[in-house]
Amino acid sequence: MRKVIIRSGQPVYKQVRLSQPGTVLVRTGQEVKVGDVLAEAVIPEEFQVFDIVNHLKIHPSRLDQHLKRMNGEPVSKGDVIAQKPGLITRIFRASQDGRIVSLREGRVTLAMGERKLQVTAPIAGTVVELIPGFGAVIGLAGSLIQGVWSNGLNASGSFTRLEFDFNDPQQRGRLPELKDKIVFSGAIITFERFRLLLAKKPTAIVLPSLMPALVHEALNSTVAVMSLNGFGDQEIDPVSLGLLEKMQDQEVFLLSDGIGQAAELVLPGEAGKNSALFDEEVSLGVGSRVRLLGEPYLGSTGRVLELPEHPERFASGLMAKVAVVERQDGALIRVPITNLLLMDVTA
Amino acid sequence: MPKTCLSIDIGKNQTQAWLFALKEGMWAVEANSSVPTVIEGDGSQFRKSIQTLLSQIEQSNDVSLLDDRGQITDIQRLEGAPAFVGMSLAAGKPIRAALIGLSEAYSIAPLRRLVSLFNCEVVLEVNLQDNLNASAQLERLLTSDIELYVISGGVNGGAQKTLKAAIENLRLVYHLIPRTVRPQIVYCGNQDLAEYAQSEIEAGLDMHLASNIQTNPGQEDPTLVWKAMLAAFERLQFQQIPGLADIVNDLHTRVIPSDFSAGRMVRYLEQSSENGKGVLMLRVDSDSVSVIAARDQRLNGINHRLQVTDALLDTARGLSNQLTDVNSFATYIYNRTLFPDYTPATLEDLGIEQAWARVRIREALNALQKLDPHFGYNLSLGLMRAYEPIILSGSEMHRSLPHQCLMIALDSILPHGITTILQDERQLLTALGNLAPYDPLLPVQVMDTEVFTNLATIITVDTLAAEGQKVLQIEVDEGEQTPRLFHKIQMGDLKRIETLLNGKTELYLAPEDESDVGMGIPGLGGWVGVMNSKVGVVVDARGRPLKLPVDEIARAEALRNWLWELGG
Repeated sequence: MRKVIIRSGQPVYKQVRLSQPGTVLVRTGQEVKVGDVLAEAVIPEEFQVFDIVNHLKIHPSRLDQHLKRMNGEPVSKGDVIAQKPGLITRIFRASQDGRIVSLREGRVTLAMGERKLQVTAPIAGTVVELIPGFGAVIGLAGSLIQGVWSNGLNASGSFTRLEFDFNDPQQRGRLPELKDKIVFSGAIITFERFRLLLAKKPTAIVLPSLMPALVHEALNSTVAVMSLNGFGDQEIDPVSLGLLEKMQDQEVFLLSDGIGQAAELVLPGEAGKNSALFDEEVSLGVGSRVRLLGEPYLGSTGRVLELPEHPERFASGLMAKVAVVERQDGALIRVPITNLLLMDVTA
Repeated sequence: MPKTCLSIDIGKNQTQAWLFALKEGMWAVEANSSVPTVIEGDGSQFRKSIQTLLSQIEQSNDVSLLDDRGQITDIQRLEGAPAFVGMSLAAGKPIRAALIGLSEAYSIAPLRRLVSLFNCEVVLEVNLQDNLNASAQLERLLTSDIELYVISGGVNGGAQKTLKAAIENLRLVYHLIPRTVRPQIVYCGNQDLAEYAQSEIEAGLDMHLASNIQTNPGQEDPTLVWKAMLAAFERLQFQQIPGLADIVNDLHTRVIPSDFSAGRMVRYLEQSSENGKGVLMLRVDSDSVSVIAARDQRLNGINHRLQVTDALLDTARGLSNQLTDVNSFATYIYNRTLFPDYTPATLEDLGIEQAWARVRIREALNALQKLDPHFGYNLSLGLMRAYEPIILSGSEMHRSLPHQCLMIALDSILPHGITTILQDERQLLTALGNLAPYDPLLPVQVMDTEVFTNLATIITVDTLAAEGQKVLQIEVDEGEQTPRLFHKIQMGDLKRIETLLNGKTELYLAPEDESDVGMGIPGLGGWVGVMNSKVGVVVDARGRPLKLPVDEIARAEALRNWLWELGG
């Protein structure tokens, strides 16, 4: 069952890895700052394939006589690699510094330049695990709010909860400065409002939920966008709101798992009493806090009172195993278990 | 203790196991169990989940699958273990594949059809006739993080120069760039270059040679490449799913793609059928639709994942039998992508879910049409070529009621003529496909025991008649004890006729002169015998393309009325 963690004093682990093997530049126990390079891979910037036989009009059996360099040899810009003397001398020179990586069938392949692929720490912390050849896991403690969707971008900045009434004509044009901040807004963010927020150049926009019409815009945005609950018009739950208040004006990090994937908001801080090395796995049970995923209760939260053993039939005619949930307003509802998101929250 | 065999399918959400037993010379399903699929992590959770699955099967059956401590072990050392184990896999990300060929028609297109049965996503195509210079070609091969290279082209004994250059580039790609996953290379081109390719690329066990996919100019035979593709598939999955190789070794089996496994059975059904029609299978899961079609000895398939777009949302909303505003409809679909296991609990949710399933199936059928122009599907006119049976399976179909399942299939496939729709509720096609190579008699005997649910017989009336005009008269003969029933079918009707619980229901179809009911020519009718089915005989005279009212309220009502006609 999918769950989200919304806790303070929570251990946070962030895996950072290269897409291809390289060299890990950190060691276990090392403290890293934001932007520190954790691992890098060096690959050629470009390749050049040259058909010596055809271009220099050389007979294949005489190829060796005209080659000036051997396979694997480094070359500098301008070095002669093959030469055919005669009335008009034909020459093939290296166009850049590089190395000969192949010499076969009359064709020479040069690997030229260097391109470094690097992965950097998106958050400060301690290297708690190395991923040999690929990267490392950074560990830290702090307040954590996991959201279910993001546009794939990481961000950091001073967190600010936007108290701005978009509907109030008196406030029109008075949106506060948000430059380099991570901004949270509980208002319904329409296309126009989203554009207004972007124009203020925040590093990230965090919303309780994202209107479907904004998905395309958010994915194409250069500003990190995160939705805590998913899509539609959903309100933020009180537990998340409480933690967001703690984050006000603090340096906060938004760490994304990728485009369209989950993300988390992290406020580094003290480890709490729950930050045991091996946390007990939270699973659905009586007393669990849950978020409801479907209409008419989309986004509301409650507590599981009962987990009946037998599946029940719903208005749709479908059978499903259910949970009896007491919503925050006291109403009791029966919901398919698949339509619940487990919330691992601060008690 | 009877002889047994075990089949395991590691699906996207659920991992299932089936135990088959040989009793009195006949194979039959003995047990079936499932656990949630867990492939992330270091492999320990994956092993534990397979252990749990085997333990569930072992508990209620006379078979040994685990050692005394309840652990997976070398299965051949256990007394009372299954005679053989088959395994398939649909979980995990699709394989990122590059196709390299000498021409679009004779190399690239056949390769697309080939890899589509092996859970591949084609991320790069290199047509060697595009006149890319060698450097540009190399750059293209290096830019994508490719896991599988499939190279084809040329007839045996034909020109070699271009292909040789591509092989040299592949050698560089294989050796120069460090990879997370060691790429696999399948060569199925000009056979004169096969050995050259092997010695040149020097990829060891990562190189898989096959016969030329192009048997003659313009003729392809992908079956010649299946063995090489299966080997490449397995080696890639071993690298990507920690713990899989150990389990495969312990169970003394091989792992194959689930769609390929089901395809084996679809192909068998087509080959053993005498009706001259193709066989079609649709597996509708929460995040993808697999379409597998066998016809004229050809097998093609596709696993299609649909990206949500405004246009598709609009199309789907027009197919919902509930009135849902644009924003709520989109909200449901987008949230569904985040929580694919969501159960539609209200009628509105169900309406959206089923409308989206229609669109997903249509788009998947259309994708197969693009892959195989002989398939016979047209987005608005439906499935123009004859397929019987059409088999439905997958989690999305499994949770729907029979008439809802049928309605989704009917509206998206839009068949023509007469056909039978079956439901593979227990996903047996995949289970049997896994075991077919070990004992070919097993799937034959199991399928003879009517393991599929007969959903309905569909009779479609193709006609240019106007709405309300009579297009067909049906006479129903339920035996001598019952008076014959007559049904008049008008253009626009969707009519259900119940079938006899035991035995055959005989129908006499008398179409109007302009009406084609699939008997060969318009106006030609005749007797049709149909077996009992869950929904019955469904006569579809709604026309192709399906004409829905423009008005939203009227359209939703029409869709509700059709669903009501089929069963409420």
